[in-house]
Amino acid sequence: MLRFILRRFVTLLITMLALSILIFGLSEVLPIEPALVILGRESTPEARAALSEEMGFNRPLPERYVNWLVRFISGDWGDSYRLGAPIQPLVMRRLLNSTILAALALLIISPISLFLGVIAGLYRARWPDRAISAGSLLTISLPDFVVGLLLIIIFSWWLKLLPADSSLRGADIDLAQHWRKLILPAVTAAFVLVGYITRVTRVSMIEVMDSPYIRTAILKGLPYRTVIIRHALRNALIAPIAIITTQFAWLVGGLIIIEQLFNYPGLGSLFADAARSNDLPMIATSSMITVSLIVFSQVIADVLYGLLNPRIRFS
Amino acid sequence: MTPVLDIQNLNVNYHSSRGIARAVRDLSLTIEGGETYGLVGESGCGKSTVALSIMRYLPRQAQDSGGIRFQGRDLMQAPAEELRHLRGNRIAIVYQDPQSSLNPVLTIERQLSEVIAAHEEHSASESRRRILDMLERVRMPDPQYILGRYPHQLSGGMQQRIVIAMALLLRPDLVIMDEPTTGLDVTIEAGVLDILDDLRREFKMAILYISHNLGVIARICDRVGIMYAGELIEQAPVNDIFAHPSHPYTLGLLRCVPRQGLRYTNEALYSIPGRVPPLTALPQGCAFAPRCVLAESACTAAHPRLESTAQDHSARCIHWETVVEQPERVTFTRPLSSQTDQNSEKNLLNVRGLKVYFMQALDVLGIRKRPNIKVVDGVDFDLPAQRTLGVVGESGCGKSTIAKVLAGLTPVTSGKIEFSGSDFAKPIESRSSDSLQQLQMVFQNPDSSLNPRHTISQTLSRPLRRFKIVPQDQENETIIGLLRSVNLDESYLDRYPSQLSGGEKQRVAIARAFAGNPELVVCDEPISSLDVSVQAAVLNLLHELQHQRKVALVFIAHDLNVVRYISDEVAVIYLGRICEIGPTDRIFSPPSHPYTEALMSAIPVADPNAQINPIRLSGNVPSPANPPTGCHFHTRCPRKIGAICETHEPPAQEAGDNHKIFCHIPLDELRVLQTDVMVKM
Amino acid sequence: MDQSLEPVLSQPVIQKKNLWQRVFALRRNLTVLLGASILIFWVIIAIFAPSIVPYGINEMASGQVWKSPSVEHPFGTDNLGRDIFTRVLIGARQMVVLPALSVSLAVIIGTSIGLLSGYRGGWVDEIIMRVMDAVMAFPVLMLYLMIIAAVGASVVNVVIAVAVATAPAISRLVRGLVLDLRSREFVAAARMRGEPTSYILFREILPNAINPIMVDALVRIGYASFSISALGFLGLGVPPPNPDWGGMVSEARNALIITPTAPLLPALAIASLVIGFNLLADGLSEVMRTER
Repeated sequence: MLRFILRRFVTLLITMLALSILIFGLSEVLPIEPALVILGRESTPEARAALSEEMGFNRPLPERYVNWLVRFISGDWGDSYRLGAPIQPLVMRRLLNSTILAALALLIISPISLFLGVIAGLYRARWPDRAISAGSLLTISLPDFVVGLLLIIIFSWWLKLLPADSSLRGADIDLAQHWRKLILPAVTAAFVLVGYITRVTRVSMIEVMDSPYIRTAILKGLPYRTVIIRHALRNALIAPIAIITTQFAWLVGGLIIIEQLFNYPGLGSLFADAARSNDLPMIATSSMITVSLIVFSQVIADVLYGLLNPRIRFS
Repeated sequence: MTPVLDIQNLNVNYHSSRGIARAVRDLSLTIEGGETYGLVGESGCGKSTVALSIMRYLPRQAQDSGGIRFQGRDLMQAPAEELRHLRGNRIAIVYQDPQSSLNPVLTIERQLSEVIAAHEEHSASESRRRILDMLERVRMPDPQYILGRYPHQLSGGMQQRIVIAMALLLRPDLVIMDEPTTGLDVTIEAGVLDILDDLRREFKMAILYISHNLGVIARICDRVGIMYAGELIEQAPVNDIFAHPSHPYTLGLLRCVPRQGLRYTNEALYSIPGRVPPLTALPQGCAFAPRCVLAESACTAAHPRLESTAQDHSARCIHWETVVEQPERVTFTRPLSSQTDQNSEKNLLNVRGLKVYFMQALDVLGIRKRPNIKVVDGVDFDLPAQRTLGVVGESGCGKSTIAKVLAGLTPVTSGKIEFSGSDFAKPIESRSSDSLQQLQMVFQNPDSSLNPRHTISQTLSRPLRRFKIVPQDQENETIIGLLRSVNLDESYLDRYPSQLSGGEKQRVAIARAFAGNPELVVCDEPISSLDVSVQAAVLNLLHELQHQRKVALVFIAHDLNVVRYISDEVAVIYLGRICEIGPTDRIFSPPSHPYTEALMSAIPVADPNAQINPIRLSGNVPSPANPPTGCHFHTRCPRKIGAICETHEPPAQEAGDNHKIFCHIPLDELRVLQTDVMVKM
Repeated sequence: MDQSLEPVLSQPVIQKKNLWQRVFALRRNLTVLLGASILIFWVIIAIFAPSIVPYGINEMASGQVWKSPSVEHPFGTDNLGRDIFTRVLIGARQMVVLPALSVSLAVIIGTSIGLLSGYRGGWVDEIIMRVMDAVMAFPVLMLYLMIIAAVGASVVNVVIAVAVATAPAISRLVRGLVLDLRSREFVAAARMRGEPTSYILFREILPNAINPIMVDALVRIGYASFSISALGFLGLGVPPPNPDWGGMVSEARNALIITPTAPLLPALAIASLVIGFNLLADGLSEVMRTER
C-alpha cells in the first residue's frame, strides 16, 4: 500500500512538471506582448522595449521557465497586467469562493446520485431503472448554461424565490449572508454532474449484484438487507466515491460557464476574464492552480480507492 | 423414508432474443440422506442450471416447471422467508472458482460468522468456537490466523476450503457441489477431494456433486446421472456406470479420455464425432442421434424414454442392449498412423541452460528492477525431428513460458536454444523468415487465437502468402486441403470465428500452424479449454497431422495422461526446473522422481475400484521470486531424506535410455519404494 | 484424407448479415431509434435550412426587437430585430458539421497516438501517457480558452482546439484497447509469421477496436457540440455573422424577462442535439454488449 501511494505521488510530480511546461509553453505562444498590455497602446516602442528587458522577456526560454517555476513554487505569483495588483490574494480569495461552491454542489450530488444509482442498479431493466437512466441521460445531455438559464427562469423570474445574480460585490464570502446567492449556481453545477455519478454508480452496482459473491451471500440465507448493505454496497460504492473525489477539483476550476452566468466571483470567471484581457500571469497562475488541484485530487482518489479496497490495501 | 431431495419432471427454459433455450428437460432424480449423487455432463448440458433451480436462484429470463421437494417440502412453492431459512442452513452450495465467490472486502471470519448469525442464535465465543472447529475439519493450517485474512490473501486451495467450511458450518442436510475442484491444480484437487470424502462419511449428508470429470465422480460418488443436452440420459450406481455403460454417449465419454497407460502407439483415442446441439434448436427424437454410430430412423422418429436396463440402472437409448453387449461397435477406432522412421537421431532442437527471469522491483518506487523472478531456471532438453516432447507440470511451473521462449514471444535471460543449426535464443523480430516458418505454435485459448474480424479463409491464406508456400492461383485449393486435413469442409471458408464452436476454432488454429509446413509446432495446452468430448478428436488430429507432415511437437499440458498418450518423451517440470526427463514409458514406471509420483497419484482415476497410492503434497507451490534452496521440491517432498535436499541441488541420475532423474535419493532406493506402492501403472 | 478418423464436419452456411442489414436491424432498439431520429432531423434541417427559412440571417426583418413568437416570427426576434427561427435553423449547419469534424480529427490523432503508445509500450508509452494525463487534467473549457486565446477565434481554430482537447481521452481509450488486444494470441500468431508492425496494427488490432472507438466518438461529438456552444456563449466561438446557438443564448439571456423564448429555444436546440448523440451512443453500446 505504501508503495502504491508513493508511486502515485511520483507520477503526480511528473505530471505536474509536464503541466507546468505545457502552461508555460502555451503562455509563450500566446500572441501577447506583455509590455503592450501593461503600458497600453499609447506607449512608445522604446518604453515597451525597456520594460520587456527589465521583466526578463529577452532571456533564453529555459532560463525563463526555471525562473517562473521557482517563483511559482515559492508563492511569488507576480502582478496582474490588467489590475496591476499582486495576483496571490486575489486568486486565493477566488479559490475559496469556488471551493465553497464546489463543496455545496458535492453535498447535493453525492447522496442523490449514489442513492439513485444504487436503486437503478438494483432494479435493473425494470421501471425504476428505466426512469433513473432516462433522467440521468437527460441531465448529462443538458449544457450547464441551459440548465442555469432554466433555473433562473423558474426560480428567479417566475417564483421570485432566489436571486439570479450571485455577485458578491467585492466582499469576502460569508455563508450566513450569501447563502441564497449560492443555491442556484450550486444546483446548476450539481445538475450537470448528478447524472454522470448516477450512471457510474448504477454500472458498479449492476456489476456487483451479478458477481458470484453476492450469489454466495444470498444462498447463505442472509436477509436481503444484509446482502445489500454489507455485501453489495461495500463493493459497489468504492468506485463512485473515488470518482466523486476527483470531481471536487473539477468543480473548483471547471465552473467557468456557471460562474459567468451567475456573475459569481470564482476561479473560473477569474480565468475567463484573464483570457479575454490577455492577462498572462493571471492565466498561467489560475490555470496552474486549477490543474494542480485536479491532478492532486486524482491521486487522493486513487489512495482512497486503495484504502477502501482490501485487495490493494494489503498488497 | 422420504428422500432428502426429490426432483420430478424438472424443465427449465431460458428466454432470449435467439429463442427459447431448453436448458433442462424432464429431469427426475432423488437423493437419499447420506448419499452422494454425481451429475455429469459437458459445459452447457444443464447441470449447473439444475443446481440453481434447486436453490431457487434462477436468473429472471429463466422459467422452470416440475417439482422439487426437499425433505418433502415443495421448494418451488416455498415463500421467500422459508427459502431464506433453508439456504445456507439446511441446503448449502459450493461452486467452482472460490476466489470470486468470496466477498473481497470482508474478512474470512465475518463471512463465516454471518452464516451462523443468520440462522441460529449463539454467543460470539460459541460461534467462533464452531468456526474454528470447522476450519480444522477442512484441515486449514493455523485457523486463528486465517480468520483475520481477506480472501485474496489465501491461495486457491485454501479459498475453496473456506467455501466448503462455510457450506458445512451448520451441518446441512443437502450440499450441492458445482465443480468444486475444477480450476485447482491436481495435487491441490486431490487434497480437497480427500477432505470432502472424509466429511461426507462423517456428516452423513446428501450431496449433489456436479462435475465434468468422471475420475472425480468415480472417486467420490455413490450414484451417477449423466446429462446430455439438458436431459438425464443414463443413471446408475457408480460401479455399474463404469462397468456397464448403457448409453452410447456415456460409453463415449469414458473412452475419449486417455486412460492411464494409454499411448498413441497402442491405439487411437476414441472421439465422439460432431458437436453438442444448440439448446435453442434441439434435433427431433434422441438429442444424441446426430453424433451416434448406432443411430437409425427409429432414433430420430420418437423421443426415447429412460428405460430400465438393470436393477437401479436406466438409460435413454433404444439400442442400450447393443451398447452393453458390443461396446466396440460404438467406440470403434482405427489405429493411428504407424510410426514414421524414428531412426533419425539428429536433434532438431537443443536447449541448454535455459533461464527466463522476469523483472522484479527492488525499491518502493519500482525504479530499480532486477530479473529476479525465476520462471524458468536452467532447463536442458533435446528433441529429435518428428518426435513429440511432452512438457508437464502444475500451473506456475514455467511450462508455458518455455513455449513462449521457443516461439520467440518472451525474451531469454540466458542459455542456448539451437534449432536445426541456427540460434533461436533471440526474439521473434530478429529471426529470419525461414526460421519463422520452421517453428509455429498452437495456443491454449481458441477464442483468442483467431482474429474475430478475419474469415477462416483469410486466416489460413495469410501464412501461405507470408511464407510463399503456393502460387496465388493454387491458394484456394490449398486452403480447402488444409481445412479437410482438420476435418472441416469448405463451407467454413467464409465464416468468422464467432460462428464456430471451440473445437472447430482450435482445428482452424491447428491448420494455420501447419499451413507453412513447419518442422516444429509448439502446442501450449491445446486441448485444455475444450469440452471433454471434443478433446480426443483434436488430440488425434494433431497426431495425424504430425505424422503426415513429419513435424516435431512440443506438447505442453497439465494433464499427465494426455501428455503420456501423445508424447515420445516427457519432461516433468516443477518451479522452473526439470525434475525428470526421458522416454515416456520410462517416466511412468519406477523409478520416478517423487514429484512425478505425487502427480500420478493425484490424478482421479475413472474407475471406482482403482486402488491408488495416496501420496499427497502439503502446502503450496513456493514463489518463483524466492524458490527454496537446494532441491526446489524439498518443501513439499514426501520422500525428503534430509538436510542435503535443502542445501544441495540434486544431481542428474541416469536411469538408462536417456532417462534422467534429478533427485538425491539413489535410484535403486526409489525403485524399491515405488514398486511397493504402485498399482496398475 | 478419406481414411480419416472421423467424418468431416460440414454445416449449412449461415449467411452473415451485410452492413446495411445490420444497421437496419438496429431500429428495434428503442434508444438507438430515438437518438438516430433526432440526429437525422437536425441533419435534414441543416441541409435544407437555406430553402426553408423565411428571412436572411442578418436581415432585420422586423422593426421590433425582442418580439415574442408570432405568425411572422415563429420564434420571435432578437436584439437587432432578426428572426430567431431563421437563425436557429441556419445555426444548425455549423452545429451539425463542426463537432463531427473536430471529433473526426481527434479520432485520427488520438487513435494514432494510442496505437503507437499501446503497441510500443516502455518509455515511449510512459512519456506519451504522462503528457496525455497533463492535457486531460485541464477542464476542457479552460483548455479551449487558452488555445483560442493563443490562436484567435475562427472556424478552423475552434475545430483544432476541440480536436486537441478531445484527442488525449481517445488516445487513452485506444491505448487500453491495444494493450488488451496486443496480448491476444492471434497477435502472437501474426508476430510468429513475421508480419510487419503496420499489418499487426492496422489489420489485426485496429479492426477489433473500431466498435468501441466509434461509440466513444459519438459521445464525444455530443460533448463537442456542448463545448462549441459554450465557447459561443462566452463570446469566443465561431465569430459573427454566422448564427451560433451558444452566442444566441448569451445575447438573449438579458432579455429573459421580455421574451423567455429567445434564449430558451436555441438552448433547447443544443440540448436536443446532445441528447441525440448520447441516446445513439448508449443504444449502440447496449446492442454491442448483447451481441457479444
